[in-house]
Amino acid sequence: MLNSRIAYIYQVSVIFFALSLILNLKPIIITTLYIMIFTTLYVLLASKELRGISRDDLASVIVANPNPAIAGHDVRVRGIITLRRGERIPMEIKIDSGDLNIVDGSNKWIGVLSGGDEASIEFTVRSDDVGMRFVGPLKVAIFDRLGILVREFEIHPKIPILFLRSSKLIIQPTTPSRSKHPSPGLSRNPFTGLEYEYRISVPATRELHARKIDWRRVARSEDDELYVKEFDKLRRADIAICIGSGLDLELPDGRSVEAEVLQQALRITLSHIREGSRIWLIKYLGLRNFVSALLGHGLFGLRLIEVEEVPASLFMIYLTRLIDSDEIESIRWLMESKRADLRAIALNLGRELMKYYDREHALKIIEIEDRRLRSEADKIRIKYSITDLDGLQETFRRLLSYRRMI
Amino acid sequence: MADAWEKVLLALICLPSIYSSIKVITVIKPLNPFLLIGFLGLILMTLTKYMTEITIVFLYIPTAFSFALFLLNDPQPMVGLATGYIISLTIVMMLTAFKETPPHTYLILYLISMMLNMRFLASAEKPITSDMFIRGILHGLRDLHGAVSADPIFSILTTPSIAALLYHIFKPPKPYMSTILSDHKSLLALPLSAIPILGLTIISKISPTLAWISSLILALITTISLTIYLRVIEH
Repeated sequence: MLNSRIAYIYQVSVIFFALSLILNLKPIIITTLYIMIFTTLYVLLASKELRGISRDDLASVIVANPNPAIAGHDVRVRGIITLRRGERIPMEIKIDSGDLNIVDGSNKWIGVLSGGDEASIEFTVRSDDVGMRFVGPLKVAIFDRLGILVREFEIHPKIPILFLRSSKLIIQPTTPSRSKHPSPGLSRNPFTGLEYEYRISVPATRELHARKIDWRRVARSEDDELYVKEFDKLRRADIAICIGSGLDLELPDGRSVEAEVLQQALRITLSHIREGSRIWLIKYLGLRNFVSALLGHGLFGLRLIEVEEVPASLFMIYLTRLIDSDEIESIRWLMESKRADLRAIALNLGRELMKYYDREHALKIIEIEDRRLRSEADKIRIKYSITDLDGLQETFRRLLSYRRMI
Repeated sequence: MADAWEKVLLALICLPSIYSSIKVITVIKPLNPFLLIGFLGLILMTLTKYMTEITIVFLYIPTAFSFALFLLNDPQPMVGLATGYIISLTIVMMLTAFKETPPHTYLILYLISMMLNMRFLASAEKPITSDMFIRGILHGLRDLHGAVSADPIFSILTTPSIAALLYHIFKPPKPYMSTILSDHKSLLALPLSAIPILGLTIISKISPTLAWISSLILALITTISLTIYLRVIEH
């Protein structure tokens, strides 16, 4: 396509050509017509070179660190783009900062990139809000040598950055795991299973002697790990926490609903699931549009790993207020095409009103909202729970531990 | 070096305006000194980036003086000053907008200045007074082609001016990119584009109506083919 600068020149030429044709102003007719013909011929001659360049000629990486981050703190974003072709190409590279504030550096790179060389973009972003935010996509505009033609590529998708309220969840001391799973475990207990349940089974001694272990309840894995048999199946599977629509609200006391939901969901999940199980965070963005990230474990605590698409065959807990009209269809799509074993938790925020309005009025709203949530959730034909913010932790815990709805 | 090259470009772009301005000044009778002060003053002020001394000498003093004479029932100095400002307008537009203005805006200004130049040349066919010149300018842009066609010097000066204009407006935004004179594709496109224009000029000598229709068809073909190429073939 034409560069906007040249497109404007062409537009001006066409307008003045038409005007001068009406007024029969020969010098203007000639000037404008010459510009129009020159632009067209140049495009025909130069576009062949640009057409030969494809998305595959560019390799890119975007890293955000730390991720998860604390709301109000800096996150350093670094993008590296490498050109695989052996020629010099003028280009402009930009990483969209989305709704994050750039506090340092620039999210653009403009220059000529030679084959094998890499361009690096570094900038710092900050979010005052808690939740899943995004940087990207990484866009590259390639120009011809005169800057008349431009070809745009989106070579790297959005990457999620998780902003949490406090560092408690992020900096979680861990012991190195012997698990073969890619995510080395999220519980600080070196043994598998819930700490509480483990204490029931294993005598509280510092040194574990095989003689003191109740082998009817505890087993040893291939990796020489001890685990509680009873809870093994329940906590073995990977899990996806999906943030649905209607949670981007701010309560009158300044708390964000999405922040509350994420904090509570992560707190329960991190302390309940079996080591080696993986947690995906998925956010609903619109009709069948989800962004997913894997919550992994780095050297300094949690980290978010970019995932290109929603993984299939997962146990999924879907937290929503069912506000978006397309959401039901999207949930069905998740269940059908991604074969998700999905449980929904519909949040009724009516109880929050009780803190600010009279009880009778709030109860009426709770009832209406409850009816709406039920009628919407019934359309999906899945197992669901309706709860409020105060009851979310308990609902989540039961769902994780026993996959039971309350 | 780059600065000197830009000055050369600017001078080339302004050539038709300089010519038409000089031509119109020479036909205005009687020649009012205030006209010359107005014409030179505005250009000097632009070139010296509004230097205080120049502004005082060429703007404030003549304005105050001509206004005083106007109050004493002598409007001619004020009319002369206004005529000088109008004549210098085409050059001043090109000078002031050269550096900071986006290329398409500069093209608009250039084409407007070309229209004004043609009006000036049309007015300069026979000796006129300052009053008649201003009235003629305000009269509009009709019947200009005859005057321009009859002035071969203007046509000759327009050619390097357009070349300089093209170099300026197609100048890439970044220093690492090529210019139309350093890229072999544009060097090929420049003479190729001149061929149909040359053809049209020859046709216009034989039949102006045919040239008019041909230019319309050529513009349509160019625009349609560019659109189709960019929208269909490129995607």
